[in-house]
Amino acid sequence: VAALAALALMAGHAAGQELQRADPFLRLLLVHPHLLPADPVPRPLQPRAAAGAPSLAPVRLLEPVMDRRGPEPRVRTLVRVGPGGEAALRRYGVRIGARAGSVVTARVPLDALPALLREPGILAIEAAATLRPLGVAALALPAPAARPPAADSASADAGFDQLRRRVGERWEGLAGQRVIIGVFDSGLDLAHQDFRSAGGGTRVLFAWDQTVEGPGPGGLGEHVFDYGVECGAAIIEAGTCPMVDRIGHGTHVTGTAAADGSATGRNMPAYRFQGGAPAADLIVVKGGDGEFTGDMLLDGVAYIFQRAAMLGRPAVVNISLSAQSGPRDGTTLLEKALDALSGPGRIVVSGTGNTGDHRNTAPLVQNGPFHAQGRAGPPGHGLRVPAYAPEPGPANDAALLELWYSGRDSLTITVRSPRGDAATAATGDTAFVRTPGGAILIMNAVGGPSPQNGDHGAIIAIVDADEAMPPDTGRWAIEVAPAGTVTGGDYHLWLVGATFAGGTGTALEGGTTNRYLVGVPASADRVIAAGAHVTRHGWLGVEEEQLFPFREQLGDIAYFSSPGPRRDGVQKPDLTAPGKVVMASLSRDATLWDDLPWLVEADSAHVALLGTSVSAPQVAAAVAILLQIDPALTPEEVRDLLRLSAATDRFVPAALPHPVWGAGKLDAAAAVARLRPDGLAGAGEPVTLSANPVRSDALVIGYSQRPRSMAVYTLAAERVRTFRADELGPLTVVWGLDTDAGGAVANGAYVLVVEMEGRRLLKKLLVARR
Amino acid sequence: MRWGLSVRRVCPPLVRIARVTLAVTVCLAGTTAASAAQGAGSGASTVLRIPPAPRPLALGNALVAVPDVWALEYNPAGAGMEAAVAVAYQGLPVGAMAGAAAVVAPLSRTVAFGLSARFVDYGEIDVIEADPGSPVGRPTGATATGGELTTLAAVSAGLGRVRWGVGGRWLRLDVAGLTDDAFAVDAGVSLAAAPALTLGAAVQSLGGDVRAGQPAPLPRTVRAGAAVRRPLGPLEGLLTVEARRREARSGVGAGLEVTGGAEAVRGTVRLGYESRAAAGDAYSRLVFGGGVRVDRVAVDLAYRALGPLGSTHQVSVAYRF
Repeated sequence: VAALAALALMAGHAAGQELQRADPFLRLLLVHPHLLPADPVPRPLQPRAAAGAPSLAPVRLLEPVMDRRGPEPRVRTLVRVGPGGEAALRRYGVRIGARAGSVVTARVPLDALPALLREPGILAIEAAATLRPLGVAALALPAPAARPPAADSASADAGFDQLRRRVGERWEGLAGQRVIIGVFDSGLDLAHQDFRSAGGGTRVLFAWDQTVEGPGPGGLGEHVFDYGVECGAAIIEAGTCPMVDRIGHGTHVTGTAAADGSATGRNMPAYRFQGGAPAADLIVVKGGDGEFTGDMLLDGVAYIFQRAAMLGRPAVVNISLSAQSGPRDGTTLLEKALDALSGPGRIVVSGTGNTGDHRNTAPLVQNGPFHAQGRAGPPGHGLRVPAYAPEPGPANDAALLELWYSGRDSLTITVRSPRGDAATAATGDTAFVRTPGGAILIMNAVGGPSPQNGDHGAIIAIVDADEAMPPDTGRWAIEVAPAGTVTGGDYHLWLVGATFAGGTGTALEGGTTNRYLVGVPASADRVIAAGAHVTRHGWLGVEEEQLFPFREQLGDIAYFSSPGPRRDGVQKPDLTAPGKVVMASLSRDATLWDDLPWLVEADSAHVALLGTSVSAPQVAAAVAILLQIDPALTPEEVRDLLRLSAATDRFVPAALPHPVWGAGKLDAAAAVARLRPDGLAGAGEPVTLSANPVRSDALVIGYSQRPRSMAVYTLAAERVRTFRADELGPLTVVWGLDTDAGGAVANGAYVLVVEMEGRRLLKKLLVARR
Repeated sequence: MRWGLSVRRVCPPLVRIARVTLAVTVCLAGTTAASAAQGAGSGASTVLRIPPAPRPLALGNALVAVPDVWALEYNPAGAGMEAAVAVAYQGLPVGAMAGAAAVVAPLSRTVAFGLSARFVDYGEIDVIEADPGSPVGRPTGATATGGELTTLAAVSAGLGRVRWGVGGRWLRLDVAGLTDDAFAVDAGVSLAAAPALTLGAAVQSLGGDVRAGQPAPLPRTVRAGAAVRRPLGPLEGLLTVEARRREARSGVGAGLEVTGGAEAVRGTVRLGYESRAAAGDAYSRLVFGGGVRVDRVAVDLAYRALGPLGSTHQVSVAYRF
């Protein structure tokens, strides 16, 4: 409390030019420090949140970015430093973690924040963004229908099936071998069979649990990770790693990317649900149990890339989390830092978010609108607050909105309650008005334009500052008017989150669009952004066959997939991937499905999830396969490959890129073919082999062009194996040393006959399995 | 039915032989079914799947009832009592090659000994070492080889018009340093049913399995057939037919051989037919061959197309004592 008081005093001194170096949420902290609870309560995950609406109480908005593990509270931030900046941070006792270009993660003592903003070497400070999982498992769903499942497969839809083949317990071909898939999420069920190799050992090379007390991994390269517990493979094997996935989101996401499918139970066959890169190795970082911060995310990504570099391996990091706040133009420090960490062999993939409002389901699901845009002046907008039962206590019934406009404009924002009370703030001003129908907070570009993009950002909150005065139900008016200089007056308004009625039903009115909803970090320049389309409605549940209650046409966009573009017009998402519903690994400790057992698959080892949480890891898996072929691919090269090879169909509009679909649907096989049009070995090697003599249980046959036919014969010209057209991938086919009749070939000599356009190639194979 | 009654009346031993042959065939068909159900390639050995010499090749692989030094490889009772020695060579696809030698020596008036040796040289390959994580292996610059060697020692004995034979086979497999040995037994019977008609039946490769690495049985085979030899004007004709079942894949073969010329120098042309055991097999059904015999020395040639694998040519030299 004393620290908050001191902060409030200092804030007055800081509210000048220095405030401009802070992002809107830090400005909120500095100008209205009373919004930071002095006695925070641990925040449980709110699993019943609607697809797009975070269950975030705005008055507690800043609490997740507080690090209270030490004797003094610290603010989790990202800091852009100039000359002398790091020295200044150290002078104020700031703990520096990851370094990403000119951005560092920094845990700043709360009372040092105003002074730090005056340091010339500190160019910008950003409160660590609060990120939430993009997997939607828990909705206020009607009872599911018990009908046969649809026959479809995410793996087949995304083009993975043509790239690899399972031979016994091993995946051969292009399955992500020797590539590291990093996952920053809610942890991993380290004992899950889907993440163990054919030999029985764990595929997890390292696991870092940031949420438990410990010394952390320590100094790695230029980074310092001094919190949490890191486990190597030996500790994981010994079963002594403390990481637990209590939510289950991280395990499902990891499974979607890289499960080998071997897990099963209840006498169901194995290998029905595997990830896109089932032979990749894993590095897992647990950053939370449902709520995550941008600094820990950046630490986690830097950690994964650093560990991969030390192993000499390429890596792709999947982030199935999103922050639905910020200028949505790729300029936040988190986005810039992720851009800086990305590079050749270091790729980041993220889901765009679940705030789309496509209204293409039967029965109809309304998911928003969460965005509106306009030009200063009437008619303005409305915020529809549904009927709800106020929560006991203050500061827990609220809605948070964000508005961004040109830094050359001056606009006045007025918020009017249903009963007519109003608060107004012009550019550079703040207003906090308690009314009988709820308090209104407006922070309208206090401190000036953002140092990152030169634009003005405003925060609007409607909140029960007093328990006895919960926000009114009904339409809240939001008016934006010119105030002095206006060059264009265009602005974007987002509903960031609301808690009313369990987070459902709150929506914008007037000038709404179903655009500009890609969250952070998917909006970063170098992060591959994945939307979601529908490939499955049904599955075999534990008790009976299940059918998801809200159904689009198979192949259509998922009703929640956040559309782009960014506010600055840059196209996001890059593409879409299967995201509704996807069956993947179920953590034994998961609570996400406690109230929804019908989502659990019949084998009790896998479970249904939907969201861009599950489309992103499929894109990550495709990236892993591309990195398997070329470990030095840059994010831009990967993005081009994925975009140019994306599939289109009757659902994808002809005019591409499209704000909803990006370049189309993920086609991993086509991306591989585009990467190496002359085959894996390049021009001059029309047919390649993974080994000869063949001493393992499989042979990978590569080719420079897709063969017209391929077969294996004995030297006596008896046909042993004919490869069907659907077995021939774009660059390779995996022969499991089996015969057409399903038997195993004997050791001996064989002839591979490859018929290509205009030529026939014969290769002698010696099979010598021990 | 009328044909069967006629045979039963005029030739009771033939009926017994037919019964025995049928019983053996039925029994062995079951033993071969397991490996056959796994498809071509699941059984061991290449050398036992290719005809050893041009004459059997050009006669549609139907040699179970044809007296010949190479008949050892089809029926241990079929080589007859004529002393002979022969060697053969053939080119196989992708640089592989095969060779064979056989000798038949009478030990008494009714007992003969036969010895056959065959090999297949797989030829060289450029070694490609597996590169963990990569679907493309690394060429090492080294080479690897492999091959098979088999010998068959057989004894046949005659009792009237019937000859019984039994042989023991040894086979060594070497695939890029992975070696193993297998042993098997062949047995057969031959009946001179009429002056121009010979019947034969045999079972081959009983008991032999290659166990190193991926265990696989030798190609257990059951054969039964007939050969008719008769003059065709100034020429001499031989017609042979055979039904066989190997690894549960059934097939038939037939061949026509026409020989003519002077006593010292005779020429032969052959046309053979062999059904494909499976639709996808690449070897041609029709086979062509020919030869010339000068006194005791015979030189034979044969050709067969192998579809996308190219073709094979065989040549042999035989000497009859």
